[in-house]
Amino acid sequence: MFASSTHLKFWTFSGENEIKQLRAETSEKYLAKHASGLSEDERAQEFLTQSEERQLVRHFEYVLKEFCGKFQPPMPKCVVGTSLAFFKRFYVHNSVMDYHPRDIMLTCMYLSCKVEEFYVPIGQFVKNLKGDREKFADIILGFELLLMQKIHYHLTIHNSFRALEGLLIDLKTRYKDHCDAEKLRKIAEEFIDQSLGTDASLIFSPSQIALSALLASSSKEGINLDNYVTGTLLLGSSEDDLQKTIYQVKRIRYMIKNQEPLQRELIQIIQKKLEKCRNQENNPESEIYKRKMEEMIDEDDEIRTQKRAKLNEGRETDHELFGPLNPI
Amino acid sequence: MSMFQYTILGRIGEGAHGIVLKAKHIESGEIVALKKIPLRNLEDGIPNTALREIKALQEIADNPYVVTLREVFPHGSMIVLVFDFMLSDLSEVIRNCDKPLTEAQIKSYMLMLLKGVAHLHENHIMHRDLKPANLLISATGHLKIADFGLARVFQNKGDRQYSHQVATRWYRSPELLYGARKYDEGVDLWAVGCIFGELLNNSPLFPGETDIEQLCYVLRVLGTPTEKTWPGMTDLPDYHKISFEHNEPIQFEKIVVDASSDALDLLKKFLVYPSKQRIAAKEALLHRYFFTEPLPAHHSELPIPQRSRRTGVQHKHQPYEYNINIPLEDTLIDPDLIAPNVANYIQ
Repeated sequence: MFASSTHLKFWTFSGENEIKQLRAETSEKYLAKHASGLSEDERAQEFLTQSEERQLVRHFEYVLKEFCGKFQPPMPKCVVGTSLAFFKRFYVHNSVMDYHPRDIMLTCMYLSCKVEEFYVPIGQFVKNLKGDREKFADIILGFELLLMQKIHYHLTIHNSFRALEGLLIDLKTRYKDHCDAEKLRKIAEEFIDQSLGTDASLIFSPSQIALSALLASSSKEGINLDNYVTGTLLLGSSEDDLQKTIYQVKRIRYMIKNQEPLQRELIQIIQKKLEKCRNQENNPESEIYKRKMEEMIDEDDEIRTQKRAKLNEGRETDHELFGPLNPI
Repeated sequence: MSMFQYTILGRIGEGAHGIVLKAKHIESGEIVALKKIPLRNLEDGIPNTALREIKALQEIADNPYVVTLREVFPHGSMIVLVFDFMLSDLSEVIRNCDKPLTEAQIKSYMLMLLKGVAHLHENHIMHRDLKPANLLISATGHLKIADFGLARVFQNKGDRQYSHQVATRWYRSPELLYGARKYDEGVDLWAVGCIFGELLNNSPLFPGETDIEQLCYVLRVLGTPTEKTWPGMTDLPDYHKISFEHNEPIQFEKIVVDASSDALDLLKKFLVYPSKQRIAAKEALLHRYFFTEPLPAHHSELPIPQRSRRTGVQHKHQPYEYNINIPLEDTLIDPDLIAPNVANYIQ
């Protein structure tokens, strides 16, 4: 249920301003840690600015979508939606300088395959990639737990694609004499596809996005759905609620129509800059990262040995704690 | 959030994916169960069962009859899930009961189980592995549904395919036994029926040793299904793979001998072939079984699992350990709910 979901409770923000502010805080936090003592100018020169971070995240959102489209076996739309939702959530509270979007993008895709029950073994997953596949597998599996942690283990995404499906079914049942619902599908799905390039899913509910998609499609197809919306879908809701819904739909349509185009020519420059200012501790190819992973494995082993010793010691007490049960 | 906030007190058990430890949350003094899932050496990363459990439990708003996932955190290359600690489970209660459970006690367990299941189904989650061992019993006697390793969000659209290798055999519904890939929350309701029968009989209703034998058990009682008693059965994937001799159904009265007529009436409503005809949890909660004497026992009247020393010296138990955090209203029955049934009863 969306109303009681973590999606609504923790990952629906009031608007673009709130998200912008959160991203600014994220970026500032990184600079405070890694660029202390540098002047404004020096920072801008050596580290990514907030707008550069944004450019890069949006670029990789685009790459992610493209990659999903080419993925074999073909991916259901909900996997694409969930991947992007994870990716967007991740970069609200994390800087691209901390975690490279390419690594996180792949991990988001892999995790959402599992979450959406579209099972692809890691070996088959990386076959979709060019280059050192074993390395990619290591990167994905290395970041999987971190990604989950950073999105606070909130794994359920309510996809707009599914909400759209619901609206189409509703049209077919309650409005079938007035329009051919299937005619609306194509443009509506394209609209949702485009919405994935914006922050819409962080601000609006999936059903609002789906309704906007449906209305965008109906106006292009020359089908009037006003009667459906006021007389069927929102029948019984107050004038106030109706106006609110209309307002939200307008906001969404405006947002999607007015997406800033990606500035591809800048991406290479930003990526180059990123190589110099990124946190090497989280770079799977750096020595620091490799050492960190080794230490973690050593630590695990140490914990395990200690535990074994403790368990042997504690056999007696264990038994006392979990002896046979005696009900009254 | 880290392991350092907990003191390990001992080992509770071992699951398919890692171990479960008993621990104390140092700051609050609360006793918890830590489920540790190692990720190292796992070829495909975090196991699906762990993901499903986290995914399902994160979305379920607090419910007294569903185990609470308190938190999740990484520990080295492990992932740790923190649950409320529970003393025992229903399978132990059934096994260790010297005296059979009274009707009032059975009603109380069924009430809690159905409230939990109703909550899950309302949240569009099917558990898929309901069985006595997954119904945990707290120190106050409360029942909570646990182990969401197989839980899935279901869609009512009905074209989604699922794996049929779910649910422990004895509690597996006939459609799953016939290899159904499309199924619904009815699989949980079948399991509820099996658990109900087990509580009434003090032994499992359909204890098949193999999948074939399992079907035999079910068919022996419910009779060989026909297209009339089970529309659509011939379309099930494994329908043509096995055929059984014709069997007339046996009356449940002969299988569950000591049960009241109300109990049998409710039991029969769960254990029917067509999944859609099984009584929904929410509806079952209003069955007159729960509103006729003897009324469901208060949780303080339920067997409370005891810790005992090996020497056999028993702790003095506290039979009237109320949970003061639970509002009184929740442990009582709403008269409005009884009213219609009472009227029927008097007629």
